[in-house]
Amino acid sequence: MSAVAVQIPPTLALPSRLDAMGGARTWLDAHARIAGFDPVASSELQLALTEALSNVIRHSYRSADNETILLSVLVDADTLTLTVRDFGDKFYRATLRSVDLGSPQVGGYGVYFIEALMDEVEWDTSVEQGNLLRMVRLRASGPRG
Amino acid sequence: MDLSTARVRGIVVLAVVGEIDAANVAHLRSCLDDLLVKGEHNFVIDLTDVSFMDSSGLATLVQLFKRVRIGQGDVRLCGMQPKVKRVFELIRLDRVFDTFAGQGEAVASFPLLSEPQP
Repeated sequence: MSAVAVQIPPTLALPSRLDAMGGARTWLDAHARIAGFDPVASSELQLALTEALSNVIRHSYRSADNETILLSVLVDADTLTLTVRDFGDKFYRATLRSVDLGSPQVGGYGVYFIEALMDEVEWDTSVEQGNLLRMVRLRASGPRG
Repeated sequence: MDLSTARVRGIVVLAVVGEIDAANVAHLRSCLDDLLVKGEHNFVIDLTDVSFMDSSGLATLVQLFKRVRIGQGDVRLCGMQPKVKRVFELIRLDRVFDTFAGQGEAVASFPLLSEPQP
């Protein structure tokens, strides 16, 4: 009997609901594991994705649950690139306050996690509608923190 | 996410099973709110079976920590898997919460408390 290769689609369309985030994590974990990321590194990628999705759903889409979020992943020899495309309100990174790690806060860590866990992060608001978040993680980079 | 609570030596031991994210964190928050309303202020949160936690889960634990400290209580954590521990370390919450390997050590780290009279 010949083995059947399982194809994980490189793109995923999600409804703008928080309960869809678990499925997106499973999808990304499959790509990360195939690409050779260990479980901790894969978990870090999943955390960055979760924070990005949560921000899109709650802020760009203002918790409307009938919108769409498009994900894509691209793996090459050196990097894993993850994109999150939404069609909601624009997100301007510069408007966010920086996180004070000296005192515990009851929120505001989402963007901090994204930027701490990924090697390159770009919020492209030049797209005609919504936002395109591009996150790159080097395959050779070790765990963060 | 599944939650189970026990009371050991006057301390609430809350065991969480599953993933904690913004989709289900309200369940955890509601459970903690109920316990706080009942006057509980010393907690051990057992994260042994938590496979993933996002910033909403962390925020809930920070909020609990701040609330119980007002009443001279404390929150101690146990059983964190490495990938969950990494999240705490990233934002230096490992310096805020005392962490232990298991429930027994975490409960024993509290001073002896008198049980409330029935």
